[in-house]
Amino acid sequence: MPPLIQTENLWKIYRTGEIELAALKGISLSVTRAEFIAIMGPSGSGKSTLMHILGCLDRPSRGRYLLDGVEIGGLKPNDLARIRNQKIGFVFQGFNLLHRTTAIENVELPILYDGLSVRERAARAGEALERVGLGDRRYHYPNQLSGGQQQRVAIARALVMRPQLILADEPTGNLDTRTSVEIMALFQELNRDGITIMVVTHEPDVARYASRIIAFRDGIIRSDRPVSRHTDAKEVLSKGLFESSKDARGEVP
Amino acid sequence: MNLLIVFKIAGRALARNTMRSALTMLGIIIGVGAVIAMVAVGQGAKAQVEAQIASIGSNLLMVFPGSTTQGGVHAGSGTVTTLTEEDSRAIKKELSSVWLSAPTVRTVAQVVSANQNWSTAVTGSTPAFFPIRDWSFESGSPFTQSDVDGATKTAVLGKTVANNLFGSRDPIGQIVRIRNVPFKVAGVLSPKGQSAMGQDQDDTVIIPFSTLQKRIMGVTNVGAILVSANSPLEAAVAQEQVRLLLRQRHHIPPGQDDDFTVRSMSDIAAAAEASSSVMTLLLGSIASVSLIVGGIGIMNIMLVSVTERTREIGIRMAVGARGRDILLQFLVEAVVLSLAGGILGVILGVVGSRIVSAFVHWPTIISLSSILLAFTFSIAIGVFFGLYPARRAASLDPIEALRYE
Ligand SMILES: Nc1ncnc2c1ncn2[C@@H]1O[C@H](COP(=O)(O)OP(=O)(O)OP(=O)(O)O)[C@@H](O)[C@H]1O
Ligand SMILES: [Mg+2]
Repeated sequence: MPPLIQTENLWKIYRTGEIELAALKGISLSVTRAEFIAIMGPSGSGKSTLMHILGCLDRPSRGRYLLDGVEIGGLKPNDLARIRNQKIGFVFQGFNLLHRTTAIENVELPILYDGLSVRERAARAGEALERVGLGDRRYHYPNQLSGGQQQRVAIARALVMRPQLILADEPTGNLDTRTSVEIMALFQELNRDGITIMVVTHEPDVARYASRIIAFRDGIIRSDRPVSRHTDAKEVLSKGLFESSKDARGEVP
Repeated sequence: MNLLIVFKIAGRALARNTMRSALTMLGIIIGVGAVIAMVAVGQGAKAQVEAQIASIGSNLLMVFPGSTTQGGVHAGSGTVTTLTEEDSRAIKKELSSVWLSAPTVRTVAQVVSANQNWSTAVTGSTPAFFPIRDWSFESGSPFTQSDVDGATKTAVLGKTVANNLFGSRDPIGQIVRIRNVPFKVAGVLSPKGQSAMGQDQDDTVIIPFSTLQKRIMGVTNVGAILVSANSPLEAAVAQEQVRLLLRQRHHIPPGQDDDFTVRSMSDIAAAAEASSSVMTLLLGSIASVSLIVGGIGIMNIMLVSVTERTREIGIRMAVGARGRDILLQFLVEAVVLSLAGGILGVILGVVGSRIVSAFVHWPTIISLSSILLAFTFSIAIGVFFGLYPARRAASLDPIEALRYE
């Protein structure tokens, strides 16, 4: 079985006017199925750029990318749309939900573009919302939900098509520590079910829930190592061990 | 993607901006409404002219003195005095295709009864006038040939004149004065109503031809000769025969223009029809300009909408929407706008034409074909003007769209 993700010498060069900027400088990476990867690195090091390419939202300037053994470089826009729909779930820092659209309808969105029957669609979307613990918020609009709840809706939308890969670009960037840990617990649960997860984060506290950490700097991979001591987010939650420097600052205990 | 869902999404997107959608539709509403109302007015006018001409009878010919093209200039009817009563008699007697012929002369005069007076058109003619115009009597009887021969003072009143001079009283046997000459009323005509030009045909008095010539006007010429062919089929033959006969009688050498004009009802009908068709076309095309302006309004709003919703497009693409899904979504939105505008426009057009009919008393005809045309046209406008913005939306790059602020 080929690895789920295989990249060879990926480059991304942005051209703004006369200035050329290499955001990725030859990334070679292999990810097997059911891995849970955290990607870290300073701002501007190319993390989002890589995620967009892996998510088939953008194309590399150079290099090869094979997803599930399929060479992505040669595919047409419609084929890429199909892959985004079927194989990948994307979670954004800013949630990217359709406003003035209920939670359930946001979750149904990917199914609309797959042509499933109305009944199947409602059932699957409901299931996905239950899974992220929002079964009772189906008809809430995004502006009636907390940030953590909105991100859960976005995760439900990402998993509703039962993808092989979930890519999350700073999913907890806008959330407090407790909610962040809750989101990571959710990812861990999905990971246990066999979904490959890649999460970009700035916070080492968040990264420790992954099984492998890849660190970026200036468009190259600086380090790539497995996490030796596995941390279970559920356990952290139940023991109340999530208090971190992030929340402690300026807060009265 | 299921088309029903696409329509649902489009409907909701439009409902979110009710005011904007309504204003955008307004162009189409006014355009379609105008097309329907204008065509209805044009068709109504045309139908009325046709009905009027049919009621006059398509076997009717009219002979006017003077050529329509004398030295290239039209000489108004009646300015030349080339026709005589003898011409009329000869037409009847010598032409096999002619059933009846009657000379006429007209003036406008004050008509006075015991206690009322009324200004009306007075026509002098012969008894043949009544069957030629297919005009029956409500009461009394026409004057006779001997009244014409003797130039007697006998009059036949149109219904409007009878009503105005006598009210509910019976005018038969009463005396009316026309320019101070006393006439005995012999009959009252059945009402005919308005003519195609909107004139009251019953506002008239008919008296013997010779009486009007000698006792009232003091002239000897004929204003026009009315000729009735045996049948509508023979009208064209009769028209040519009348022309040849009159040329011969007037001693016109070959190569010289006629000094009279023979017009058939079908000539008049064709002219009237042509002018009302031109009117319909003109009104219709002015109205379609507003439809096109409406279409441009839709295009404008759709372009704004695509820009505003760039992020939404990015999100949809990120979860698997293909270019054609986005294209369809925006195209359907444009079509829903224009179609809804079209439906409201049809309602506006129908109501508008009713109002025109009710208040201005113009007949209007709303044809199914003009409604169908307006519908097809508004859908076509939605597709045509919606395509460009929709393609623009569909061609967006997913990552660019997601980054759009
Ligand atoms: N569309 C673009 N056009 C030009 N340059 C870009 C574009 N997108 C990203 N870049 C540049 O590419 C580099 C990498 O950007 P990227 O967004 O991948 O960084 P990042 O690691 O995700 O940073 P952060 O942690 O702040 O999100 C940056 O220097 C950025 O300025
Ligand atoms: Mg980033």
